[in-house]
Amino acid sequence: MRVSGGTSRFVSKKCRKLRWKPLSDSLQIGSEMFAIGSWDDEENEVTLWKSANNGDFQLVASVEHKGDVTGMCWQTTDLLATSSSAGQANLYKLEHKKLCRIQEWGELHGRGGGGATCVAAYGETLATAGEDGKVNILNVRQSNPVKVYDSADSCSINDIVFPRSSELLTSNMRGQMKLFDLRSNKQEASSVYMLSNDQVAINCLAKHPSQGHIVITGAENGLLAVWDLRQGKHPTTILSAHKAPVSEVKFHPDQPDHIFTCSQGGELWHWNGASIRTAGVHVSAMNGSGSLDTTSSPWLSSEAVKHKVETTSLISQQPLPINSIDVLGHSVLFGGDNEAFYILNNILL
Amino acid sequence: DPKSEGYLLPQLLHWISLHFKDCEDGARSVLSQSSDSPEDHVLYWDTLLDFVLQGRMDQARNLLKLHTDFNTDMFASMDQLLRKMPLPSNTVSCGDFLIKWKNWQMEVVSRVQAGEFAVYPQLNNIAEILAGSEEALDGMANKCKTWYQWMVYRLLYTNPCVATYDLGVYAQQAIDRFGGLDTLTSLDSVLLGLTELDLPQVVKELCMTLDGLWFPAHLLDILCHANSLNPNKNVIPNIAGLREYLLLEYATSLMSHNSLWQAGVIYFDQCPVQGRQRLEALLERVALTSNYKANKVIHIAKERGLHSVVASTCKVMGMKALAGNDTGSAMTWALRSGDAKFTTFLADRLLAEYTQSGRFSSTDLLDNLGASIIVSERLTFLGKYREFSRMREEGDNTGAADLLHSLLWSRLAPKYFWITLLIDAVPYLTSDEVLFTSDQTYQLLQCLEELIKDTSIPEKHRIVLEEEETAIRLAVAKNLALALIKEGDNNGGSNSVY
Repeated sequence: MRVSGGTSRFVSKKCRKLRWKPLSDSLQIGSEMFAIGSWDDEENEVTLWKSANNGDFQLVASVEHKGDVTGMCWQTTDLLATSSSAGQANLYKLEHKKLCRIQEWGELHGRGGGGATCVAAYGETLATAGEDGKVNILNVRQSNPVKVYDSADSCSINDIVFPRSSELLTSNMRGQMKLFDLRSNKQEASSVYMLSNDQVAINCLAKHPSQGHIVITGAENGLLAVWDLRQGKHPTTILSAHKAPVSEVKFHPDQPDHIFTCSQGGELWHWNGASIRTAGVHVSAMNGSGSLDTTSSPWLSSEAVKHKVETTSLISQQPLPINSIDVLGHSVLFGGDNEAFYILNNILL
Repeated sequence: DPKSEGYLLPQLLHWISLHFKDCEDGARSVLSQSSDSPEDHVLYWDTLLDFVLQGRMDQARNLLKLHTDFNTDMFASMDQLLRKMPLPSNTVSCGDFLIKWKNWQMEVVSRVQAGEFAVYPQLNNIAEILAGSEEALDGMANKCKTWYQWMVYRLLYTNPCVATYDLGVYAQQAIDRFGGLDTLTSLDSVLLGLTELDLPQVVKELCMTLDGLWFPAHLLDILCHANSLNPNKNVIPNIAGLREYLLLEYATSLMSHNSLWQAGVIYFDQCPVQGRQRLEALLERVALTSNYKANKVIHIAKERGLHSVVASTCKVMGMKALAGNDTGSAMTWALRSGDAKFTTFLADRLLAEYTQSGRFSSTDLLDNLGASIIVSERLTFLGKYREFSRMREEGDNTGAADLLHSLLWSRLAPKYFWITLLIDAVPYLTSDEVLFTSDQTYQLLQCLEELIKDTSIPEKHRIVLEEEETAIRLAVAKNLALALIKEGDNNGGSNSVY
């Protein structure tokens, strides 16, 4: 696995979330844009950058953000949603090279100093969760929450993701994941998943791009866990990954056999699951029918994952934590508390 | 202010040429004015002089060539002198260089005395300077903006092999020429300190004049590393101590910044003597504005083995959660800190919530305590009681009764909860099925007696106890009877064999 070419830029704000802007058409390759949300400063901001062909970067737009940016995701190619430690969610639109806030949902999460901790988007729906254990479902066209789960969890929620349009998955600081069925009227989770019997926080969730029942989580003790949401309450596989808490896990959007993780210890790893397939190991899904399901993801085959997955460290270990990572095509974007962002190009998959 | 084996003067000249670039501007101006007689340009001679003073002979000669009278003898002679001037290089030893240089200067002096340059006073002046004449050099002082500029020019033409330890003397002379110690600016003081190799003085001046400690701290760090590479190690005594002092001060100032505290941690890591203690003390003062930040602090503390910081951070976060009425989060933080007292306090809270509302508020916590159930006895009881509660809901009567008995008899339950447990026991005592053995029933009775005799229980519990006492005694008696009969039957069954 070779990596050639990397560029970086100092931005003098600690980066909390970095997200590639979705390409509106394939002609845009080579001039990708990405957004960065900062944290822990007196005045935080969301900035939009564009990478020029000569390896330089240009600041396209920047806008103030109240509170730390705790979660960020692109709803469409022009709409950017953020969750804030001040307890609110914001929606920004990119118009004529400026970011304007077109929608703000205030006071979604009050209790707890950290406010809202994460945001996820699916179509026109946004979901936020917070340190107070609440989950809010929002619609971009409405200024009030569509649905509120007041006590979705009895402790802080760390991350949230939509496995399907009608389902919502949250992870909390105790190592539990809860699945909510958005179509029902119940206020409780329809399923609860447990990482282990120790109270280890699950920091981040990543959903398989095409198979929504496969989820990978990163925990506070550096463990990665692969889950099949349809089967059982415990992870299919647990991998001991980093020595420090895992900050973010990401599936490659086009090639989900590859995942990328970053940690608070300043590490950035690429996990190549394709080698599991090529090693000729039977990829058996644990479905009740007993027949081999060859379209299943190699991540579900626990023994193979433990022994065959190739892991590469993409950078030498940094002294300060890497908080966020995103991958698009052959480029990996990451940044953290050393107040700079980095892009590694030509990642071989 | 380094320690190199080479010549000092070239480095000084380089330094001066970086800071005083007027001659370059002048040269550009002269060259850009394309006229037949560039020497008439107002800056021509000044620029030429500057180049000569700074030892930039090639550029000086280039300017000289532009002079219309270049073809005359005296110009050729000057050009030759400039060309022949020896410059220090690493290939030539100091002694050899000095001999060459002295020879050259004698040649200059002889030509001056022969009056070769008499016609052109400017040229004569240059020659005098080359000859190292104090008078001429003194005259140059007016051209110099600062004392150190003049000092270097003087050294070039009087003592090119100057050693570092002699620099102080020349510096002093230069300062005197320029107005004495009273007129020193802070930059001047720093430079003076440098020439005298007085490092503490330099650092003191820097700390006093500069806003933050960034510059002195990093400077000392570089010097310290350079010093440790130096064969004769004690060139600068006590430098490690000074470096650590500055780094500690700088890192401490970083820690008070709301965002740069993380950088401060890294600086403390570089201080071998006191870094760890200071970090321990200051890490606790970082404002824990969110779970995310608290987790980062905990990770930093864990990495460095500062367990007390881990525990205290968890406790602070637990208390914060509690203040926001979030008992679930508070308990998770308490378990993470491993603090038995705090956990007991929270378990009592949860039990109180139960007695008030009849429900548990954090069932998903209590059902999945795992290994942390042993952190505190109260928590163990709480977990077990929740288990009992679940068994009761599911209708597992035998299991529930057994558990209930063991909770009381093992004294795991806190005294204030006994009455609740006894009341819980009544339906099991009065059920048709015999769920308690006679021994167990006696033990339950004993617990009841003990509770009645206990004078320390609060008033409202006493009232409940009095109300329920009869019912409990009745239930106990009934169960005892049934249990004895059943056991008697079992015994009797075996007796009937005889």
